[in-house]
Amino acid sequence: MTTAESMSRLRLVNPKGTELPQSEFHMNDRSGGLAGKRLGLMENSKANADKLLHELGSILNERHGFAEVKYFSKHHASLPAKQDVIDSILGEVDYLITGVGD
Amino acid sequence: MTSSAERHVETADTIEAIEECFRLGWTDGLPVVPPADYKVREMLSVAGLTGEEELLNLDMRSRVITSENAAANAVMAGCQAEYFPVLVTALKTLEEERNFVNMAASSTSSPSILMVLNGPIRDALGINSRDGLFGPGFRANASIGRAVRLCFMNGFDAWPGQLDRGTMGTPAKYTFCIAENEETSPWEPLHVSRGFDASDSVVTVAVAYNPVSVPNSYGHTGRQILNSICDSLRSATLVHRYPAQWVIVIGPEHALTLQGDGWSRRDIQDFLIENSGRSRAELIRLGSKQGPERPGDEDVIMRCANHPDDILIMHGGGTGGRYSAIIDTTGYRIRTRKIGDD
Repeated sequence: MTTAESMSRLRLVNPKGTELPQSEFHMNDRSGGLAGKRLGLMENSKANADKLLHELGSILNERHGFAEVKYFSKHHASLPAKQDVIDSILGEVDYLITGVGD
Repeated sequence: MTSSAERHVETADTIEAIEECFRLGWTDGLPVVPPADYKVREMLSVAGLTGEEELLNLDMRSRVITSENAAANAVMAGCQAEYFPVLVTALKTLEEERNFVNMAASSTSSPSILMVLNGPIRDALGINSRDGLFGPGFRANASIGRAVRLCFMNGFDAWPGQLDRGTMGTPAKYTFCIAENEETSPWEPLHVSRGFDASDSVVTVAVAYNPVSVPNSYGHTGRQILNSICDSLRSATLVHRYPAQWVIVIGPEHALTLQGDGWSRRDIQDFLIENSGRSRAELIRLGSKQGPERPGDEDVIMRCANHPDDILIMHGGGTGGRYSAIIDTTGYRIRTRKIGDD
């Protein structure tokens, strides 16, 4: 295609990043309520995120009566959780709340 | 991977194409050069790439910037084809520590990507190192820096208020690409100080913040100039980074004074570390560091850097005034790479 031809009808290349294949996500079964379940809360290592999530955990536990409330932490706010932390979450809790604090 | 059909858009003419780029959400707010396929292919050809190569992978966003993605963004930024190898090398440099790229694409602190060019490529591409160092006015500086940010915005959805949560943003996110003025520098070029040959064309890449200008118009000694830099480092604007890596751009007038007083690069680095200290207690009371204050914090002196090599000294800017500049950087380690050495 010459420059003159292409100017008459421009074909633009999409600059968006190319999507990588993603694994499937499935939500946990939510039937049966929260009482007696195991709750996990993961903070992102930002200042005071741990305090916020501990307070949240206490409030939720009072309301719903979890069997156990466990806390997890990312080692760096800008990086994904390490695999051993993810493995612990999978094995030790039924639900996880994660959030960013700053 | 998206299909070929989804990757292309057709428009009737150039002006319509520019507007179409706005409608598609492909721009940084300024008009772009439409990424016509023949221009993208020309860009790839100069770098000897096919379009399929993966240059920067950000798996936590399930995206990869291919050489075709990068070339499209380079065209849009206004790059000439011969600039493209610089962008390719810069993206590959970021790939070396790619997890921290997420910070550059999202942090509330609004970091941008600084590129410093050294070696023969400065003259070959016309990358400015003198008057108006940080711009505007120079196509190579403006468009190479812009191409990196467009790659982040289009490549990783780093849009303000969405995945880019930069609080204040920064003009440096539009473009942040400079060269060192090696010719009038009293010291060996930055890239030589980092282990490269003077004849190598290299790019130094930092996840960095906007430059803080340091005037010292009336001091007659190198010590006075360095004290001005230390005074700025100790300010609330910069002290919260301690300890960090820094790029210090010494302007030509300041460089002459420092040279006259016999200051070496290492002397300057040592002086800045020695004279930038503030106590941890003071920084906690200021709110620059997280408390609570503990006994002994008054005697814990925090300094701008842990090691002299964490302070990159370079030379650039115009001769019209007596200014230098401080660029603070994030936890991403500053890296230097030979262009085309991939």
